[in-house]
Amino acid sequence: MKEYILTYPNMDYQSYIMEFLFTSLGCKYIRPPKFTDKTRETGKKLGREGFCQPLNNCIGDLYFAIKNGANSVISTAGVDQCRYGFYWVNQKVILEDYLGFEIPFFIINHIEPEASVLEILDRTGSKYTLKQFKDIWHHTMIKINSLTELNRLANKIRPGETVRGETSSVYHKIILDLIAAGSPDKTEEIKKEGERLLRNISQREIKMPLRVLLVGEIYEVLEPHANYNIEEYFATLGVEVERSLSYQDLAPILSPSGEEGYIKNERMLTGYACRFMVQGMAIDGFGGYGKMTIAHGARAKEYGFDGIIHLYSFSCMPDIIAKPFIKKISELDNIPAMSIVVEEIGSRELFYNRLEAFVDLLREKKKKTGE
Amino acid sequence: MKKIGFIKSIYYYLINPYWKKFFSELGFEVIVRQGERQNLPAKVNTFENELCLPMKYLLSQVGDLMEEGVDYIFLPHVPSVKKGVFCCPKVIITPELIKLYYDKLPSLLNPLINMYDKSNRFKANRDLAIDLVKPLNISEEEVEKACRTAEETQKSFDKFLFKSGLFYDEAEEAFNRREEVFPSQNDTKILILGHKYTVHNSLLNNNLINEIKYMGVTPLAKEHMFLYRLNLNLKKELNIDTDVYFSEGAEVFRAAYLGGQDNSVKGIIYLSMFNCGFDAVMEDIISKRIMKKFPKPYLNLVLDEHSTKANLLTRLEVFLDIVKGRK
Repeated sequence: MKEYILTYPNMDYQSYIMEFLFTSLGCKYIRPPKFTDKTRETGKKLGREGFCQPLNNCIGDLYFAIKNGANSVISTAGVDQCRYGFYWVNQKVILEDYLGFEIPFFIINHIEPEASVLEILDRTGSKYTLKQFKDIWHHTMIKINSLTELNRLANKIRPGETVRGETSSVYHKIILDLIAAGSPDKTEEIKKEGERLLRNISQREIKMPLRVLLVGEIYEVLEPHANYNIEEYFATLGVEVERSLSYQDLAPILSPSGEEGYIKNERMLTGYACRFMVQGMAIDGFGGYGKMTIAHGARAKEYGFDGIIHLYSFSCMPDIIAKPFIKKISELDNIPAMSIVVEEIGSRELFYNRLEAFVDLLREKKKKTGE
Repeated sequence: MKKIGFIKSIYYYLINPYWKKFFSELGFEVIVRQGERQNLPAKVNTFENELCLPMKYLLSQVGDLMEEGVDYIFLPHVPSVKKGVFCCPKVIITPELIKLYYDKLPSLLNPLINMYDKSNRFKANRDLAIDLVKPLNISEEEVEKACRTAEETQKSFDKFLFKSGLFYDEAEEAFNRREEVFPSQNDTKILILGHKYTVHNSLLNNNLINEIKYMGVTPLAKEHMFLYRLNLNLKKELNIDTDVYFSEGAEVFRAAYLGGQDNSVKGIIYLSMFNCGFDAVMEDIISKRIMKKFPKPYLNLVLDEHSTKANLLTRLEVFLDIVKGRK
């Protein structure tokens, strides 16, 4: 049987998680190299106009992973209204055309991820028992939840750090240790230690602390290279950022509170989305994360956020639709909001200039109105 | 007589003539807005710029329809018109987008047309129609009768469109006049791929179909092809192991493949709309997989509100020179 060497694109730490999951169950796996401008350029060159940034960036990641020895790709797909479910087909065709050989793609389905992973394990011929699978799966869920919780805590701590960069340095080290941990108990231990270390970071007082909610398409919200490390930059301006989306939003089963908790959360968000659409639309959504963008935007004021940053990629259909809704939310709820197409900015400096101007606006408003 | 307005964009071609016939059978005066190409950039630039042209055009036409004075606008939510296939996100959320931009709308009739898990289109539409016109005090019997007539009209029109070789608007006129039309015997056929609202709407495609005819070749749309005749396993042929679940995608791929195989199709043009996510995805697969299998002249034209006629015609002329030169 052919030896499959798997890979998976970068999105925050997702590729590391996949590495843990598949190597623990007997597969061979190569992570794509660290994302750089070269990855972005390659993705753009192989991709095309009309493809969004996540698609192009992932093509770049996969290209370099294959150059480094991977010979097959794990991809995810769901069937919902946006074109995302078809991306793996475009990636396969582009890479096969360019590289000149066949590249098997194994798909993890959003609705039944466990069943999809089991199928991949069978097709790649890896040896595992069902008990091993259940244990590793459970352990992977613990790691994913820990990543989300640590990210939230780091974002709370970072704005007030006395030594610039200390939070990020501690945070990234904990994450890597946590992902490498060999048992659920060890993972929990590292997570608790990580929380302790983060809470012990020396803090200064921030004169006017601000909180901003990051909404938009999941790749732009989670992947630091897609959003020019917005969490770190906002922290230098004394602003706490909260991601509206997390890994759990990729599939219901990943929710820390299980499927029931996911459904409860969905209902809450659907309620907010109902401010702008009929219930049928609010429940089913209209593709991608468009409904989530609107729902999170609609709850921002009530949850005490001072502003909303909406990040999305050029040609992202659901979030282009969500953009005028975010504008409306800003008017109705009297909360500053800014929609940014990340590629259009083109440079870190320009992006940061816009963010700085936005923060000035938030401070002015808070000074005048106290809100 | 109450006036009900329809706008000729995006979902119009997916759900008609069924719904137009339904309302005219119930005694409504059906008004269809087409609009003009002149001043299109100015007309559409008040709306979210990154939306595709068909969507921006639809939003601009709502205002024009209101000026014309209608009692109702037919503005459905259309998550799906075919089992197992979704429409584009923009099509799904159209009424909500319109409410963002317009304050004082006339009464909207906005049923939720969702055939995603429905096998029986007639039954689904009929149940929808009964609920929709309840507030208008129309009896269920009348509704049922109007639905039957509408369904027959839809089926006859689809057959007529297929046989005549005409594009939608011309076909509708000929159909309503009960004309008999024979497809062109010209043996230089050019297949035009793309969404139905791009290919069949002369305003959105800048009258390209007629320009192609004036250049002495016969344009052909996927609606003129018998897509399911051959036992074509597209998944196997293209080595793509998944169903195409979006927006006319399956038909576009099949048409491209069959057009590639068909010797009477001398060239293929893909009309994309700028910033259409699905066009980008489909066109890439067609140019990389299908056109490699059948090396025929192939052209991708990307359209938006700023596309100038001169630019498009130049490219078209060069393409058709290549097609004719190959004969």
